[in-house]
Amino acid sequence: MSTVREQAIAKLKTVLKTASVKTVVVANGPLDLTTYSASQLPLVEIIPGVETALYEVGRHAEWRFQLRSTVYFVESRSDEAQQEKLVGEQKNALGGNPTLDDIVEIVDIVNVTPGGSFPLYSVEFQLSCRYERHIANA
Amino acid sequence: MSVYYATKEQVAAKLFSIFQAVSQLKFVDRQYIEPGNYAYPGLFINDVREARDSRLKDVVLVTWSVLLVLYVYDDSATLSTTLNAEIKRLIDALKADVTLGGLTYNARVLQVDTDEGFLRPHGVALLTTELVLLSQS
Repeated sequence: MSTVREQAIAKLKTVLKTASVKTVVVANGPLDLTTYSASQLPLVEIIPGVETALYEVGRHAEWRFQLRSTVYFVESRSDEAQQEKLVGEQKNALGGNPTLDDIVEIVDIVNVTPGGSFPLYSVEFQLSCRYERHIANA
Repeated sequence: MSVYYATKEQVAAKLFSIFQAVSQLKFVDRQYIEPGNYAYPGLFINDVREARDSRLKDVVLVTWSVLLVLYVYDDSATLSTTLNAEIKRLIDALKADVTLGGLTYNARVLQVDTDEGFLRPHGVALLTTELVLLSQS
């Protein structure tokens, strides 16, 4: 049976597959983008972070995990309208489903960081998620 | 979100046509051999080096350096003025469209060296030029 975090990541894969995104992958670390073709971009990479317990009271506990979602895109010419559209799609996808269909609560988009250089650019979203966990009887 | 590729040959041909269109230039050729009975001002486009960096499986960032070797002839006291004017025309021709008609991301002259009058009545200028383009392989 998959954990809540695994369910959340699986859901996030579909949520972040917006109209412009061609590929979504889950990875444990930075991708080797040289294994991908230009036709597979824009590409979203999801890197799950560490899961930690916030508190446990009786049979009830709240857990939190961080994750990073980075959208990579390739550009021959500067096209800010296209870039803004892509970033807007990602933000709207997250903002439009902040509970990922009641699996977790996306507490915060901690940071949005643009990066990269010609011809490969990226925008990284750092997300903080939490969920309640019911502890079964011993 | 689209990628425009080019080959060095396409870029070289475009450079050639851009400099041929500089009306004051009487002679343009690829690769310097030896100055002979060429018309002045004359220009050689020399391939110097190429750096390739894979960014995606089918996207290679190519930084290509070419050396533009410019010759002028002026036996008057205005040799340096003549040389400077030709240098400026070359730089302006490049700056008019740094994408060379959509082939490159950027094209710029990095450095200009001259013979400083040692070859009078010839004047020689070396324009180190960098071209950045995307290749598929």
